[in-house]
Amino acid sequence: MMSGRRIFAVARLNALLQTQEPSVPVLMAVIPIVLTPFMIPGNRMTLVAEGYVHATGAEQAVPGFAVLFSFFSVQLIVQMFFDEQQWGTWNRMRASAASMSEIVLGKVAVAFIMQLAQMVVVLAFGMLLDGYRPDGSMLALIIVATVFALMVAMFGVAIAMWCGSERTALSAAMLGGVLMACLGGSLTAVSTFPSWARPLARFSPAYWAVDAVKRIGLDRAGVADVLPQIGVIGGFGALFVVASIIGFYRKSRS
Amino acid sequence: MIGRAAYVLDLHPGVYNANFVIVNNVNLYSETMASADDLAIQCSDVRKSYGSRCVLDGVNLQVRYGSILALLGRNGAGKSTLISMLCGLLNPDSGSVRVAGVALNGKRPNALGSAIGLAPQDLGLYPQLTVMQNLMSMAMVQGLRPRNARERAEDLIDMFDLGKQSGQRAESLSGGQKRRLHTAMALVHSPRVLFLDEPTVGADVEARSSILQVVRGIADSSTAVLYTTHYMEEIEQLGADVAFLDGGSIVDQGSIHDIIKRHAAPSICVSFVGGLQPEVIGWVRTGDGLEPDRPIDDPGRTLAALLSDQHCRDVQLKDVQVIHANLETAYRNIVRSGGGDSVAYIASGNPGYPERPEQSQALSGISGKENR
Repeated sequence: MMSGRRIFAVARLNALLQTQEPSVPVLMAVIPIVLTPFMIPGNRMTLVAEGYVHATGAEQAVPGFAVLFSFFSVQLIVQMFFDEQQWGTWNRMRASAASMSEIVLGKVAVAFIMQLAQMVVVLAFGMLLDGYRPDGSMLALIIVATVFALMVAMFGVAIAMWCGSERTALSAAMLGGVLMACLGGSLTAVSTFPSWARPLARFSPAYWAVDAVKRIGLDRAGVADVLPQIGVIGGFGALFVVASIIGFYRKSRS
Repeated sequence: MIGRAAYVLDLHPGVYNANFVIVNNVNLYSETMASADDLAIQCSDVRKSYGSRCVLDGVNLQVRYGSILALLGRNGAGKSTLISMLCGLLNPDSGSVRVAGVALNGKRPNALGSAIGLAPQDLGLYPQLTVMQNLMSMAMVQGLRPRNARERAEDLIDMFDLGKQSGQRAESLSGGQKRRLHTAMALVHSPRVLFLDEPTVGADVEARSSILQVVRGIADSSTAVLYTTHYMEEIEQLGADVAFLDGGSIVDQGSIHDIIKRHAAPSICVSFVGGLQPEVIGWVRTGDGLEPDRPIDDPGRTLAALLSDQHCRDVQLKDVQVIHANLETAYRNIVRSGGGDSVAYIASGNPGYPERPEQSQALSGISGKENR
């Protein structure tokens, strides 16, 4: 039977480890804040062309970079698993009273909090510095950010569970993340894609996240308006959970 | 029982102390009284192969609570594989394993984790955490509440003499300090069965002594310890029972005394002035000296017999070296006989007793380079 105390202990340990080397998570939050102003004019032109004549461009640039850098920071999640092997602590953990499920859940909790924190920081600074003013529901924005952060965390866990080495896992995380982020329109709006490429965007969870945040920012959308997007993002998350579980048992058996 | 231990004392003057005699007697007593409940580790006909390579080929092993079993074998003999299996990290291909009363049948029950402590062969520390954080974090993962975890961590820091380093990051510790912390982390939850896989590799004299002292104390408090090492003197200091793993199975198991008695004998090497080696029945020439051609019981009596031989009366004695039977000699004989069968050892005509001193020294040197 799973123990909440042990899951908390694993999460506490991983959070402690992250706080000891905060440079990478900090950079993952700072760089999008620095880069966003460079993208705003181009994004404004795109949004105006889409019919949003009063758009500032921040409505696309801020959530776009928040999504893009969320995928970049998947490497931190992957490293949470592989670092333990490098430090020789993985077998110690496996031999402990904590079950593998408890160990993985403890790590997922920290990965989720890191993702959410990064997204919140990027969006908050977008509001403070770049004039990002979502005119829709803040609750809807929080729900989208939360579900998206959980989905990205599970993407990282799935990569860690399926890859045999750190190098492979980091490459897969980076390439998979960039592919999903760019395909989903986090760097440039999907409307600028060639017509044949636009339908492909729907296969990326980033598309649904950017679309939801854009609706909240530009179309005064509420929770009910973005429920389909939230559902699709959640569906991707569920897929990654299943992939993680299969990878987990596959790894346990080997 | 007391006579048995006393005999060991005769063979190893200065190595054993009174404590060993008492502990050994307790072990010997429990050996005869052992029931399933007394057994911390029971493993029966355990087999494991990696592809076509058979690593464990029918291992049978029993360890009682309150005892230390030193598992010996060459590099690659399967010691670490066996430990991984006993900790539930690897599944055997066949056979049964029971640790701390928990049967491992392909699944690793949570109850096992709280009953066992593992210090793997390779260091396992969180480098960027302090000594205290490492210990506390592991204690909490083992299910201790924060306050208890802190108390236990403080106890272990005292026990392993890491007080001055408690606020220091693990990555900045010396090799010996890291090794002590590594071992301490296996003890945070006071396990009933402890697995220490070469815990003193790379440790300095001080760290090694500290680890051995703690291990002995832990066993005295009813914890079963399975200990692997390549240093025979550690086993003698711990007063451990010994099991030899060779060719994938346990080829012999017993107390140090029993193992030495079965696999090693004392010997002497006698040399004469001028290098003249007389022909004496029952002795063979070995380099500069003569050695008995069969195992002996009493070096003094054997030397007296040699010197009274008519061929030795006119030659002047230069040097006499008495070679004591010890665990290292027994180990080398077992390894050399390729399975430690004591019958084969006698019947082969191979005296099996120690090589000439210089050979012995050379072998120790090689072993030292590899393992220390």
